[in-house]
Amino acid sequence: MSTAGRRSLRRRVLTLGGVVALVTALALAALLYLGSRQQTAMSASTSAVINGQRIADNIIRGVMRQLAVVSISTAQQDSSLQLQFNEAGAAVYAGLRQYLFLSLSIPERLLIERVKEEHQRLEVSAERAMRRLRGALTDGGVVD
Amino acid sequence: MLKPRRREVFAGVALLLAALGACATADRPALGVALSGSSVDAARMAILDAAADGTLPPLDTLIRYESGGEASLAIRLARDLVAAPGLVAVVGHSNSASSLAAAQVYNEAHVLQLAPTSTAVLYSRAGAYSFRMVPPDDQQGKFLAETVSLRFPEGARVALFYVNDDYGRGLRASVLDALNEDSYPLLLDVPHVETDVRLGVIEQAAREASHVRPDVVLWLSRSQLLSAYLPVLRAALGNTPIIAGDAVSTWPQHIYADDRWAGVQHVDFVDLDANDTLRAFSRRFEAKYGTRMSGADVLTYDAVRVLLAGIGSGATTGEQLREYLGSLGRARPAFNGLSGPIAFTDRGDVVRKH
Repeated sequence: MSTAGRRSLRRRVLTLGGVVALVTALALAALLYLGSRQQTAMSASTSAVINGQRIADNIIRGVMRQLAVVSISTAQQDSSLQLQFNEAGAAVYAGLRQYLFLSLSIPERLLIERVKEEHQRLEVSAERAMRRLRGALTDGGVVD
Repeated sequence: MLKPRRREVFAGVALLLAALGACATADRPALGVALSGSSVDAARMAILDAAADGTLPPLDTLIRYESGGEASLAIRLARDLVAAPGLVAVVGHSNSASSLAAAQVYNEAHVLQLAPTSTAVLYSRAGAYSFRMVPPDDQQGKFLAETVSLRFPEGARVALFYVNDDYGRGLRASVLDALNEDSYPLLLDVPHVETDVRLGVIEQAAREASHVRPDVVLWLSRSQLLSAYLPVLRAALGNTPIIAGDAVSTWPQHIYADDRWAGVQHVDFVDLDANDTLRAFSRRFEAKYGTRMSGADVLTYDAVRVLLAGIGSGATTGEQLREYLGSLGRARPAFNGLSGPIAFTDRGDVVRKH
């Protein structure tokens, strides 16, 4: 083989090697990018689940606090209890309204609204019971 | 009976017409309305008036009657409306709770929502596509607290009734923020739910009110509920003044002429007797639909007219309509509505006084 032919072959081998290296680098970069995107998406999904769970925990905690206040109200008459009841109710409401700004399906939104409406009814019934008891204690009357 | 050959031709022509019809429908923007009561008539009248004065742009209209104010109903209606081809905007819904609940469905679909009477503070954060024709309740709460302090001497006793939903909770919070409770002691604070009008429940609330002998009752709930409570409250409290929020303004005015409503004053965003134009409109509305209009009807009428003007100006998407509403009172003059000049803040709240 002539010198010119060897040079040409070397150039071809080097070019091919360069192309392979470039393709490999690009493929690796693409894989890394996709992996990172998947990781970001997974991390976002995980955060959304954790966030949703945190909101739900706050709602449950608020409702339990309200129920606890109502049960104590049967034994004592204390205006600070009403304040505690209202604060817990405000926390539940704030939690339910946080869901409003999350991306949810229609059935999920309907479920949230059902929970919200049930909680509104529960609060009104609980407050009525507390006021009734307070009235009965004040008047010396009987709670029916 | 058609012969087979003729039947094929007839079916072909019918299909072609249907296809052309479908194309026409998809090409034209569609405007939805999701409201209740006489507001639906007000929306219809806005469309008819625009057609009569030659400003009705080519569009499809979808009018849905809301049979109740529940949020779940509004979500279902919103889901059905956004599925309609070409939908760019919806005027609705009936109250704050339902407008808020439906807002995300519209925002996700990039459909503009214009709520005529929803005042809940939270609605300002509902999304970039959610606008309203009334200011938020933080302003109304301040106004109600000021009204109490202007009309009643210090020491006047206050009883508060509120509906336990987005509207009532938000308005109650803003009233209590603004009310000086040292000067105007709050002696009764009673929530109720919209769906519970049992006599026993109402009687208990009235007994409690009678027990604290208020000088003024603040009513932060809706007309139909006040209508149910009023006979029992009057029996228990006599003619104690009742000051109500704007949700009481949604009923036609003649209802308030009833004796039981004497002493009830409510917030209204529209003075129906403010000028000749409104008085003439009121007469025309009554002649056409057989009922006197309310402030909410005027706001609904204006909401539809401003959206028709936006579509007429060339807006064919929710995004373009959003830009149009945002430009009112800035890049272009405020829209001249029956209720006054219409322009919006950056959060989509109308600029308006009580």
